[in-house]
Amino acid sequence: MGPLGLLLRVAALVVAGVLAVTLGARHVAPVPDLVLVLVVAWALWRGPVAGGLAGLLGGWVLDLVPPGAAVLGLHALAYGAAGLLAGRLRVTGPVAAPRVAGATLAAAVLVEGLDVLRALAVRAPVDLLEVGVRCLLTATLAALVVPLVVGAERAVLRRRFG
Amino acid sequence: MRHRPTPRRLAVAAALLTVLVVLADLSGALDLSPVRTLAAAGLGPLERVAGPGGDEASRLRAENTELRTRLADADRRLAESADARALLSDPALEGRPLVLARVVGVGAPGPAGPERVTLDVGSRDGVEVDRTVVAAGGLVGRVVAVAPWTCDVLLLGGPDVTVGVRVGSAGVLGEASGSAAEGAAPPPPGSMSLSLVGAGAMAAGDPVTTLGSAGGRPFVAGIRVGTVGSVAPAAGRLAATGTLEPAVDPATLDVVGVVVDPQRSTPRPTATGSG
Repeated sequence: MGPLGLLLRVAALVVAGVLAVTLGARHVAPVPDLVLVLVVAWALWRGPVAGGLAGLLGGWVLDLVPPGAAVLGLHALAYGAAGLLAGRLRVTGPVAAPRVAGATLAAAVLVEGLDVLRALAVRAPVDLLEVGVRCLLTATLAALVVPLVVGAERAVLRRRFG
Repeated sequence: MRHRPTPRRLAVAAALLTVLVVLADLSGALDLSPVRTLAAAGLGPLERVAGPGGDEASRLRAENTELRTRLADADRRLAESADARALLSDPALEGRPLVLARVVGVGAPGPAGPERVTLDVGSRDGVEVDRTVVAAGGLVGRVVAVAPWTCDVLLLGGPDVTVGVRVGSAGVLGEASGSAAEGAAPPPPGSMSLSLVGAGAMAAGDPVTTLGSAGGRPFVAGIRVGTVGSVAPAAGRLAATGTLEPAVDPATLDVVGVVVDPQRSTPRPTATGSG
């Protein structure tokens, strides 16, 4: 991947991060995890290492896009692990929607689960219903969007190498 | 011969670097606020543009759609000015200088809802860190980071927020927190834990207001925080505990006010003891 490709992917993650926080300000709730959808797309396309790197980048975007995170880097680590996990679920051949939904659900449960553990550690309240709905919504969106992202990546590859 | 780093090595290095940043931020060994300020200075204006407000009907829309959009926009502005009026007419805020702001970003939600929001005002508007943020209903939270055009607010109800409070008409001292009080069960989602500091009584429905901090930072005194939701049996404890129902629902935030420095030019007169 060239510098331009990397820049475009980072820009896509920033747009997803900004879109997520501004949708919340427009009282859209629950908001699916748009950054995670992109991370899973690249993990299923390129494998665990690329997925982990995309997750780290996506997490850093969430850590830095205002209002950001209380502790810098925590989202990056969680999303990096989620990208790694989703990449391990990659299979060769076309990316089917049920597999995408399953991989995204696993990644979302990992990300949200770490947040839930953090809350339980300080004995803060946890709304498991809201967390569950958010995971399902993210998985549903991913089933629709990830095949498009992977298709776009394939098209770019075909154009470059014929 | 030059070796290019393999993706695997790059990923391991990036992960290790991130772990170091987390440890540095958690331990406070490194001040990372310039990183946040830089990110907010770069991305904050983008959020201000993408966030609510400033919506203009597209020239390319059909006339009917354009009229409908304008009508909806007018309704929203009306509601906003009503919000602003309600906020400014709150007796607890009488005489306090406020900077009115709009929520333009809501952070990644925690397990019990949003914990941080971004407002469209920053250091250029006189906002500083550790300022009280209020809405028409009561306390919203406190400012934790400021960039030139935006600021970030830690919301009441988050696990990291604790507020000194006065409970009931007697003004019994207590503490409200987003995490469970010592020896008590975690509060249900949407509520906060409430514990009195010493002997005293509280009952469901009692109003809870801020105790206030030195210099009014981070919290000014007398702002409505909410009402007592329930009182737990004082099994072996001296001080009562219970839950607090916050006056402001963070999910419905739109127009808020940041209490700023009154810029006192005359020093407070000194008093002399007569005993």
